[in-house]
Amino acid sequence: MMKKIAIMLLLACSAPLFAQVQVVNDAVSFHEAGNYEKARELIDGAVQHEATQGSALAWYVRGFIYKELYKQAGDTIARNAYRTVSVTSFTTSMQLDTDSVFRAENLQNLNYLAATCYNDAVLLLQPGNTEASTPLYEQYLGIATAADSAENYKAKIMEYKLILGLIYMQRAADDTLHRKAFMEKARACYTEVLKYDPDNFSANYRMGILYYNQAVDIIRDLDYEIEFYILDNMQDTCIVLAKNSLPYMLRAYKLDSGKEDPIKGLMGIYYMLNEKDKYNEYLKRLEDLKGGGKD
Amino acid sequence: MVLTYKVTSWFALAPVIFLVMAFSEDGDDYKVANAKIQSIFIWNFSRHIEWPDGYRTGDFVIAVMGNSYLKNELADMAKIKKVGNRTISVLAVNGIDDLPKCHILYVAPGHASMVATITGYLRGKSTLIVTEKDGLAKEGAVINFVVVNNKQKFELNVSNAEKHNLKISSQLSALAILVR
Repeated sequence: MMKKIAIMLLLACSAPLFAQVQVVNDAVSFHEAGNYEKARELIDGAVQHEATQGSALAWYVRGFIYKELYKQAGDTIARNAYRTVSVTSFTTSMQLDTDSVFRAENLQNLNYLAATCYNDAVLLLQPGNTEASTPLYEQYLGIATAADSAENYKAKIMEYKLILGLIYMQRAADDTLHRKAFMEKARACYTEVLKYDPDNFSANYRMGILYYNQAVDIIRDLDYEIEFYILDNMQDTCIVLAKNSLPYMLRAYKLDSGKEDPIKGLMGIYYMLNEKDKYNEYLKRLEDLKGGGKD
Repeated sequence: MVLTYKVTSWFALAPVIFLVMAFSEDGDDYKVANAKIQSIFIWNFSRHIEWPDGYRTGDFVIAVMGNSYLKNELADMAKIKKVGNRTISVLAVNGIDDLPKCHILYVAPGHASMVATITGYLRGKSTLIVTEKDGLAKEGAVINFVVVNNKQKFELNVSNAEKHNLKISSQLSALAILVR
């Protein structure tokens, strides 16, 4: 690919630009020879020179060289830095490429770099390192936007937010001091997923759980000494939360009535609402499901 | 160059059951929550009702018939609360045969058919009978838990209280649904 570009460069340039275009061509040659540092030095100069700074091709070449540097780098900080420059270069090339000569190649490379960002972001979530993961995820979103293909990335956005939401819920379970804050972060994640896909089972079920757990937390933390009227108010609050939970849990159940979890969730919600008939109805459904009986 | 996205499938497989944050081991946290609310009510009953002589010394005894969640919750409460300076003792009972002298007896809905027998057995005794089924406040219970607009409330039969020589504070009466 890069050899073809080298030939294109030589054929396309006019005499006054020849010297600078030759720099770009030399960068291509060094790249082909595997001398990426030299290639980088040359191309960095070329994109700053007035003769070639407006060349979509020069920026494309730069993106390609930095992509190679990213792949070769062993140090994480250096890899991220090279990747960022590569993305910027391909994006700039796209902006300058008014005839869309390099559009397909630019998009292909941006898609590749987006995938690396996303994969790194998700890998960092495995040890629960949300602080390091989030900037990479944001970078991934930036690439998706630059590539004007945010729609295509919708599934990835939802996948990431579901994972992140789960991590926040785990943290809420482990960290009583910051529990509420983590639950709100989890809620934000699922809200975003449901914006894209209102019928996402996991997001619906977990939103239901979040509201329900909030109510349980309130009751658990009640002091025995509270006045009756405060107990009454707290019950009101819990009822609101349980009712907030209900539509999500009902939808989750509707989406997959063969799963035990939403049935158990509905049992809990209806019990909390003191709707024992409904509780018993779902208890029966759970027993039927476990027993393999008809619904 | 095409790079496939790595789907972190292990996250997708993470069990969701842990998401139900139980503060009971068997996962029925909603029953524990309900028991907590009822415990708070029972605690307040102990504070707003006066027992006669003969019931003012020794442990304050609460007997629970048919609801292990409530019994456990009251037992937890008993670890940190006293009635005046008296230790609260909570025990589970199955029927009148193992029913000791007690200050409060809670009868679960599943044992509602025993209320008439229990009322007869406790005639003349100063035990606050607390039930949780429609109509029982007229059948001998002093206090009957009910649900109004999804909330836990309670009915109070003052006449039944007087039959057991129990004095109900005006504050408690004001909060109750009075039943005659």
